[in-house]
Amino acid sequence: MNAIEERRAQEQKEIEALEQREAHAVLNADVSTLQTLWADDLIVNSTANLIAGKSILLEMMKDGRLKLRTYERRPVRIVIFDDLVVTTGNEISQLIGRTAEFKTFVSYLNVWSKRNGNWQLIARHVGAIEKAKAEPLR
Amino acid sequence: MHSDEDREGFRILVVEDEEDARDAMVAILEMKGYRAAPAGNGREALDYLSRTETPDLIILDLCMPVMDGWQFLRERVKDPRLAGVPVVVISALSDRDDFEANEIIIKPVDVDHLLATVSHYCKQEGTA
Repeated sequence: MNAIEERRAQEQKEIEALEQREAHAVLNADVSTLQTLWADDLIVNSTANLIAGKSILLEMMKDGRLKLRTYERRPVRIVIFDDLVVTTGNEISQLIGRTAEFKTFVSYLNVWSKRNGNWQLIARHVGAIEKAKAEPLR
Repeated sequence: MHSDEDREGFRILVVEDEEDARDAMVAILEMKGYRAAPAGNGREALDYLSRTETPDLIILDLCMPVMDGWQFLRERVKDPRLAGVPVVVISALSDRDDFEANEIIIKPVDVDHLLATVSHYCKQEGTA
């Protein structure tokens, strides 16, 4: 492996870890971690066909209205363009709340930007794949 | 911008067949201090409205099973109690104008725009 390939492989690992760190923070409603991983001008287009920004999403997490029981993210492809990264893959989640009886399968596309030396999520689009009946909550 | 106290007591009916969208809109409106109720189609909305207080605002999807948004709007004007209730239509059909509504918001719905629109129609008397 030459130096360029090594650097690419290292960046790939860094982004994979970043993706998992962000997913873990979402699962645990870790607002302080998300405050740093999400850009202030983040834009999210959800499966509910709602476009939401950072403040409303964090407010919903703090308020307990956006709470996940399970959340798994599997990146399928990561493309690095210098200080911009596009990741795409699938996710399986189960909410705690009104739709808790379903597991939701989605495809996602995340856009990360390096700002002041730190990666931040700047855009995210989620598309529904399917919903499946899940184990009831205990 | 209105405080949560200003919004308390305002009743909003969210008529949308897509459960994720309906639940998310109701959750956001409740979080902002409104009293929001869900209905899965126009028929459910009319049934709900026949047994409850008149809401201050109706958020209405157009394409729904059982009774769609166009039918609901026609039924609404026949009822003097409902005829004056403002309706905000949310739709992906940006080329349709064969209905009367106070406002149209194109899907996907920008939550900030939705909240600003709701705030416009849910004002306490005497507030700007």
